[in-house]
Amino acid sequence: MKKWLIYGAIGAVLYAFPWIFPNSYLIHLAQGFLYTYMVVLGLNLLVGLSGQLSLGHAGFFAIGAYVSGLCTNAGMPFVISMVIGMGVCALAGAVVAMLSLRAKGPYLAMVTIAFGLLIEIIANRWVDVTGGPAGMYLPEPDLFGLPLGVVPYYWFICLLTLAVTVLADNLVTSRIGRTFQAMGNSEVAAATVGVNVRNWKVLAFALSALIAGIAGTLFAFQNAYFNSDSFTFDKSILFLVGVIVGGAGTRLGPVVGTLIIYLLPQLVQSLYDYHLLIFGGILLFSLIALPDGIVGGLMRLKKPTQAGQRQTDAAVAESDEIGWASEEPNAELAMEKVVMEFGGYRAVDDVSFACQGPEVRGLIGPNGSGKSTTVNLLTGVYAPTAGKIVWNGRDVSAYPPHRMAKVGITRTFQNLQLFTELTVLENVLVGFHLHYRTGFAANLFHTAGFKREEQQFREKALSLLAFVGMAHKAEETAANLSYGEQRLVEIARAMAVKPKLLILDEPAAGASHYEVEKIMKVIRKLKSIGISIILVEHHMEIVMNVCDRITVLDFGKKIAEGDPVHIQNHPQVIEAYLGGEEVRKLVVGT
Amino acid sequence: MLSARNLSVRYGMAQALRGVDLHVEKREIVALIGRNGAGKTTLLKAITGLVKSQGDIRYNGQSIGNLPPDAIMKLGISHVPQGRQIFGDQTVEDNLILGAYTKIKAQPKQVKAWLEREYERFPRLKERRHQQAGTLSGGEQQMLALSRALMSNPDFLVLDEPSMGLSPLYVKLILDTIKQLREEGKTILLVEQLAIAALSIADRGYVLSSGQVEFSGPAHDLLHDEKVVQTYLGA
Amino acid sequence: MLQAVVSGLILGSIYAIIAQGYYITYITTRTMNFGQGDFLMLGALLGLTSYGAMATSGMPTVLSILAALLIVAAVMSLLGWGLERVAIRPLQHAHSIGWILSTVAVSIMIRNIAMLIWGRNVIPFPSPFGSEVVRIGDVGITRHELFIAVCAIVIMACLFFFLNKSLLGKALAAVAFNADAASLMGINPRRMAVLAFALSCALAGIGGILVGPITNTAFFMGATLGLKAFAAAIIGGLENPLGILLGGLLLGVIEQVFSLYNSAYKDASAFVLILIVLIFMPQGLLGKKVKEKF
Repeated sequence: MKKWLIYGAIGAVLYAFPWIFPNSYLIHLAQGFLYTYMVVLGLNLLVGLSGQLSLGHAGFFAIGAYVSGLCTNAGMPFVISMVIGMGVCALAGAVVAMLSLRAKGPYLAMVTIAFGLLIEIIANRWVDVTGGPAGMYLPEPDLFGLPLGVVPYYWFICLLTLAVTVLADNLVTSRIGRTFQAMGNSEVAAATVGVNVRNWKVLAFALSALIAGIAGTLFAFQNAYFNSDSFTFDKSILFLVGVIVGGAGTRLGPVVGTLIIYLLPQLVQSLYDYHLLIFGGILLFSLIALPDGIVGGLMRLKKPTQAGQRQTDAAVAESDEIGWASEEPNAELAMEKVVMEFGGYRAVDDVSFACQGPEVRGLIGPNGSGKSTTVNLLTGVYAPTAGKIVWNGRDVSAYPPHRMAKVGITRTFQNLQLFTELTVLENVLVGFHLHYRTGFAANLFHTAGFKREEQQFREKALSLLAFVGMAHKAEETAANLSYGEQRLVEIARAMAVKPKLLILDEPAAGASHYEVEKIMKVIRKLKSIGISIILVEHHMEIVMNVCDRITVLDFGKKIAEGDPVHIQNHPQVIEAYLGGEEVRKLVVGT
Repeated sequence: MLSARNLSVRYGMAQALRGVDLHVEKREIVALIGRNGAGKTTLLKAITGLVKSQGDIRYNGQSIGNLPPDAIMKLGISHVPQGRQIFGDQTVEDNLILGAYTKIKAQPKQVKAWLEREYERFPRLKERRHQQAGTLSGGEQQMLALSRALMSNPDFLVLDEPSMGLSPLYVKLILDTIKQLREEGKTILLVEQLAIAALSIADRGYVLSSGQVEFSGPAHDLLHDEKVVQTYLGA
Repeated sequence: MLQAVVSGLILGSIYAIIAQGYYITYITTRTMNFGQGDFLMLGALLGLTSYGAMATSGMPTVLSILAALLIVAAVMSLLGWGLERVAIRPLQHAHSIGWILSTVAVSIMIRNIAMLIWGRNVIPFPSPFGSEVVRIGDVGITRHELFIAVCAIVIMACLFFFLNKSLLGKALAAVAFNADAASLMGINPRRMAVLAFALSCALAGIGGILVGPITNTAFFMGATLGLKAFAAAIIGGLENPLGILLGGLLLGVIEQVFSLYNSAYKDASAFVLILIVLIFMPQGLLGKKVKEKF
């Protein structure tokens, strides 16, 4: 309710503005501020939340302007034109995202730069359609026949801005926003809990572009005239400045950022010869002084007290219940003559093994023997060069990680891959990704169904955390945990997927004695409810204690398989791995 | 030779080390053990300048607290970091040459001799001298990391979990090498997860817990102290 | 057509020189000077002014050129050092893309200052070698273009030797691979970062002098050239200097060939090319395939 009071107050202020300042210059300025803010808000979803980058947002802004302008000039009503503009922008965003799917970092930046510049060139040079630098003239906008003069048009912009803000805010606080953020933190971890990273990236780009498209339309009709000078590379940079200086990923950041990028240049415009110097200086100073942006910097000052309070609220006793069991305990996995080559080097060489659930299977071997590669193959991170992986009779060799998760195979990571910016609880909630039933619309509008479901999964997530003994840290940011704690949270997150096969990649590496106990308990419990486990581990103590059967790899080949006693007495294993009595004493300390 | 007094390190809000006192004498092997997150790696990083610390660190009487790592290294302290951290895209030999980065201009002949010495220590490295270091196996990479650190001919070696991720055969090789290095006159500060193995080659040991020294003493005593064994060694 | 290819190669070699600057700073600091174009502009204008001053004082042409090159390289290195200090180092611990914007901030300040010094108009930048055309078969090359080609070859050769064979080059690569581990070898990563930026800016400056006589020299000339050089680096593969050379040449040739038809195509072709390359080779033509380990 408090939320709606705030929105109401903002709405009232925006509504009253033309009466307080009955000055067409100021109203014009306010219009510009609002649509610029909209672009920055949309870009913030992309950059701040989902961890992608766009240096070509002026391109989407331009598409919105031109498409709606052309439609109106072709005789369509203003509102319809605007909707078409939004649609084309979303489509363009999706296309850019698909073009840049495999590109990262500077390469992704380049794809978006190239897109922005191409649009700029088209706007400039395809004069027959766009008018180029000479510009495009438009009729006065109207709302279903009601003409929108300066002040009504301003109100129309206010209305749209508020709507976009409310909906974007809803999205950010729903599972959609959480998924974006998870994806930005660790793509591979998001994929292994079932997030189709490709589609979600496309969605983020399309949403962001769509919002820029609305803003583009509003800009185009502001003066009933615009030309191609407004869509330069500098403009794209400016939008990004708004996001970063305001505070990427924060909810208030775009407002503050827009103040800087839109109002500041207006103020220093009179100093024409020096305005770049001044703007550059202020930008540089704010980036150095406040690397998290203005809002980000302020939030950092506030944070410590909040975190402490929340921790005590969520204290939940440890429990042994996780509240579900595997429906299909007899899951069967088979690797058939699998080969994995990297540039001529065979990391996994003709390995076959079968695992029939519920079973705890140990996978051991000296370093570099191909264990991690095997895990990556089984979870779809790599696709085998040759051979087959069969899961319950289905060939899953070519499945990407999110499809592996969907059929019931998930994992933890040797080098931790938590969503570091999310809280512990949110990490586990992302783990439930495949089990959420509400759609995009429910999350966008925060329907009753959405709230019910969210509450339900929060409780489930807490009970999973209680099971691994981490409930007391539920509201802590994941980055603040110790390594051992992070491993436990990874296990809880993987359990949220409700897998039939869980692959633990060195869960005890560097864990304390207490955490090792905890991990062994979790493994036994999972087995008792019908989940199969593949355990990659160096700690012989754990392997020999919890595994039913053990597969030993050496130099990419399987050299032995059997129960712990068999393995401990297998001459080849002792030779290759355990290295005889003396070292065993030295290492295991028995 | 090296002493740290009242050493503290903070990472943001978390306190990783709280007032640690520690000293290492010439030609000693000192083992640093404790649970994960106890602050072992942080302590090493504070000594070699990779993290900022409060307190007093002295090496041969000279205060080295908060000098940058490249300056501390020039005083003769070499740090073999956790996870080996070799330069994977350069050859084995280039890795070793870079280990002697600070010495090669002034003493090219010496460096050549040291290179031969390391090749003798680990003939495996000589066989693979022109191979990209990233293609070595884990054990070979650990050899390379150790040799690379020895290429500046340091007096003081800081080793962070040299056994991590290695099969027992390699662990034995590495531990034997450490003992041999002491024979050559080096002083060694060793962090190890394999507590018993480490204490069995060390002279003295420190047990860290939650960023503080919980027990310390001769390695032999620690190995036979019931409390230490039960709580930390878990054997 | 052949004519277009040759002039494309020459234009492309300039892109490649500028783009090597992106490479060096990217591998050492994972950052780049997004304002490289404006540094190039400054190099061009500074070169023009200092050459003019020396030529009018009666120095022989060749000496004046060398002196101008040296002055520009020195001043730009100094600026590179400043850039690293002001726009890169303070932001290094912020895990963000702030450096993109901070380098842009510095560059727009430079653009403003250049405008105040050299004015708003295009300044004629005659090549010291005159505009005579040398004919080789059907292809005409101006003497300035020959000069560009020679410079490009010399610069590339020096750069490759430095990166692959010298101790400093290996140290640079070590910092690139793992800065903490490099510092444990006694390599000072901050000094390497400064070195990288100084080198990068010097390359931009020299690129500016070379490109000056074949383009419009003015305070606004940088943006497009900087972006095209960035495109060249990305096409070739940002982490491979050979790839960057190839990317630069390819971009130059394609641009010149398309400009035979229409100048709008010329500008668009560069960015269409990059989209096509990145769709099929997301790491560029010769970029390393990054094998991530989990």
